[in-house]
Amino acid sequence: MLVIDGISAYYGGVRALDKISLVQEEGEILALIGGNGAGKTTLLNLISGIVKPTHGTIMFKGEDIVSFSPEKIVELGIIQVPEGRHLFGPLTVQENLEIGAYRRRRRQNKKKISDDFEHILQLFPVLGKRLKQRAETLSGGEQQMLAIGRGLMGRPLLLLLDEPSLGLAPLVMQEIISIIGRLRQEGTTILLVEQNARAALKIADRGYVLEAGKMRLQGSATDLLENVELKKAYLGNRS
Amino acid sequence: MNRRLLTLVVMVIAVSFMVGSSLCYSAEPIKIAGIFALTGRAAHIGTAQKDAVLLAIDETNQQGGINGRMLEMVMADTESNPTKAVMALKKILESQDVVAIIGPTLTGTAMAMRGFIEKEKIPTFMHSGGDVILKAPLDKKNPNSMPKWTFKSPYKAADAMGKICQYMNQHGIKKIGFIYSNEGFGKDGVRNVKVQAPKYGVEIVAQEAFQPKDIDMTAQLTRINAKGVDAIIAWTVGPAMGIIAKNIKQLGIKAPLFECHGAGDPIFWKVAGESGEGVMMPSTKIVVADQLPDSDIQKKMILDYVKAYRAKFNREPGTMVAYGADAAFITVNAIKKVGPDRAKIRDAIENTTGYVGISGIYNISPQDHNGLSMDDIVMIKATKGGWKLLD
Amino acid sequence: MEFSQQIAQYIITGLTIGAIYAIVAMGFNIIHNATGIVNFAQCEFISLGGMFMYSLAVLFKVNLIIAFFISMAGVALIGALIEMGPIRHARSKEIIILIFLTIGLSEILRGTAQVVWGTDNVGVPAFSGETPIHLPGGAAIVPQHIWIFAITVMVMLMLRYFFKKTLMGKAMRATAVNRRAAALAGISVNRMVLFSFAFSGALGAVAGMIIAPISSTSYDTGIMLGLKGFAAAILGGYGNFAGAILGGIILGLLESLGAGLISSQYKDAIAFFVLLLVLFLKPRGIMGYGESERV
Repeated sequence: MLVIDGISAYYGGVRALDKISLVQEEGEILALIGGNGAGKTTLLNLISGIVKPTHGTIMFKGEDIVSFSPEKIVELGIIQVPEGRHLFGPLTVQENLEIGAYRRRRRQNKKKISDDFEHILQLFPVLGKRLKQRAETLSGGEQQMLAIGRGLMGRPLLLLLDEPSLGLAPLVMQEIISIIGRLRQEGTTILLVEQNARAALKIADRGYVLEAGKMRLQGSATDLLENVELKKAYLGNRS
Repeated sequence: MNRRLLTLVVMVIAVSFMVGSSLCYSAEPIKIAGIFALTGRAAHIGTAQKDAVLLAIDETNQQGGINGRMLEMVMADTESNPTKAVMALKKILESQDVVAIIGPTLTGTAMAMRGFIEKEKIPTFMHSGGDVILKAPLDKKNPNSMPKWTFKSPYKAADAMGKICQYMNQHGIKKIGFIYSNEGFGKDGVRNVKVQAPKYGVEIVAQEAFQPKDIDMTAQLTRINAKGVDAIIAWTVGPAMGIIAKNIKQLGIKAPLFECHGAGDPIFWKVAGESGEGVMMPSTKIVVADQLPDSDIQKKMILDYVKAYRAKFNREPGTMVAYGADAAFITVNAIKKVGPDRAKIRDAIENTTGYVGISGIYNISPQDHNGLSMDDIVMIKATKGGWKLLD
Repeated sequence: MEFSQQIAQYIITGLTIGAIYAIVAMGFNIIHNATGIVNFAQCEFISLGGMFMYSLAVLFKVNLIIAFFISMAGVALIGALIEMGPIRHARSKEIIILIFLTIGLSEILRGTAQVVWGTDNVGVPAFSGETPIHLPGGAAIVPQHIWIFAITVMVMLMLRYFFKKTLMGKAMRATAVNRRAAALAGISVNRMVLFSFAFSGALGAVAGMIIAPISSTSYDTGIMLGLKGFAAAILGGYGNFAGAILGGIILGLLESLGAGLISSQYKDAIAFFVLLLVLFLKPRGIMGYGESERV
């Protein structure tokens, strides 16, 4: 579904990614692991078209999308839920969700969009109670749910999740993780960027490890969980 | 090869043209600086005056110039702004050798330029309405330091104000309100009305100001009207002339409106529209020339000038035009008489007597650098898009 | 005239002038929210509105209503062209440089207008006559004042509807809040910025057209109104929808009551003093709560 081949990019004059390649199959959850500044977010922004590479190609369903504008990429079904959530704070919860479906306003009928809206409220019942509230008044966990909900309103074929657990209490984090699991059951392909490598690998099919802009390791999630080197660096000492 | 030949031919033609034309005017032109408000608030006045001066210069050149030398006007724009006016003046004096200056348009710019002109000793014929440019001492500490090189062509604002007050006296108007734009010209009007009104038994019961660019004066007019006035005088030029007329109609104020001697101009009708009907003002004779009695010695020359102005610019000359034309003709006459020498030109201008101009008969003297009197002014009334001479 | 009648007159005058300031302030706000810049070409939008109206209605004798909408569309187009050309293709995206760019564009527009129309002030016919109307409170107005009020209220209601009820309007607000997130939601940020310039152009044109029959118009009438509108926007809280309306009306009332009750000579100084006082007490303006409730 997604094939990234030899991509390099600069960020603020520094080489952020160096000849990265990555393959993702349809229906797969891929975990992208790495420390701060490893280039994970840059990679997501490359896919979303916000950052442009100096070399390499990004093929989505057989089409090179490197030259596409961000809105065109959203239209293809690649939707990113950005790190730090980036909600539209002064807008209401409902408005945030509506804007998630902005690209679908002409192509698809209102019925489908409102069905998705109902579906998301089932997925995140707490949002249903807060529809008229401003997004900035929500708690951290609720904001993350809204961010994911907004992404889902775009009917993603490929969902790019950037650090969904960042700054959340463990209990809330568990809830988010379980929702990601549910999304997979519904057939959404997910590229998950996480610092919490253990949690990510537990629900992922395969994983990639980025370090200082280079691809260090890749393999199935179970293999990576057992990898000695990785344990030291990212998984802590708990087995 | 062909192209090179062609280029050569073109160059030869071009060079011969340049040589030819410079041969025709082998004598250096005599340069006069024209400094006007070509943009900004008073642009409509400055542009009219610039045209009037150009017309006078063209006329002189068509008659063969001055001793075979053509006149040339070096033009600058004050942008209706005192600081810009001084900058424009300095720039001209640094780069050009001018024998005299005509302009500027606004009193504020004139005051800013005056000190510099006196220091550089250049005869300057200004068009500014305000009298301060002649009356205020150059050095505030020395009341005798009067300008030597500065003249002004519009009749004194004091006389214009006097004319209004005289008219009021003749028509039984006793209590008036005075509204003025809060800058040089308007403040000059305040000083004048305080002197002139008592002379004719007119009492000022209300006095209000507004900013030159304001778009509504109903608040000030409401205040004036509350004092129960017999008439209102508005001392301003530009769009405010029309806004005040409109606001008075809106408020249903019955007291007649008098405006300043700059109002008798086509621009008045543009900004006032129907509300301009009935407004009275002092004016030069130019706008009512055809209504003058045949015995008036100015009548023929004014009608001739109006004809020439219409032919050249295809529009009606307003009262402002007269000031530009008179300043230009008197200056040109002085140059004709004494040649291109600044000091001699100044003296010649100062000794102009009995000159029949468009604005009136100029009797300039060392004591009076304007030379017009109240008798040169007529009162007119805005009527049906034109002007009616009042008696 | 009774004192209460005078007060009524001052208030009516203040509200009318304030309504114009409010529309201008809205124009500043919309572009500011979309781009973060102060668009000084806003002043020229006002002048152009008045001059387009004059050309169509007076020179070409076009029906007033049609002239109104053509002028509005014309200036909106100029706004859009400014964005599509110089603003979008500026080499630097620094806010301060873009602001200077708008100052330059404003000079170019004004210079062009001066060449096209000359420097004379010209009148535009009132939308429905000039017969004064006497209100119950004792104040007198002309029909144009009613037009100014009605059009201002209508413009505000339409803007409110657009920004609160339509997906496009919500997308514009979203872009104002967070450009990156908006792009990730599939909103074309460029297009939103383009719309904001077109909107501001239309708003400026409306302000210029509705006041022209009262104040007359010229190639540079917009400067004074533009600066007053800018002051109103700051007073209300720069970028704030309700603040623009409030700021405009307060400024209009201050000027009118200041001139009527205190001193006509110092009315601008009074208004300026209050503006400084408000900014001293509430640096973000009356309605300024940071990012919230932006247009």
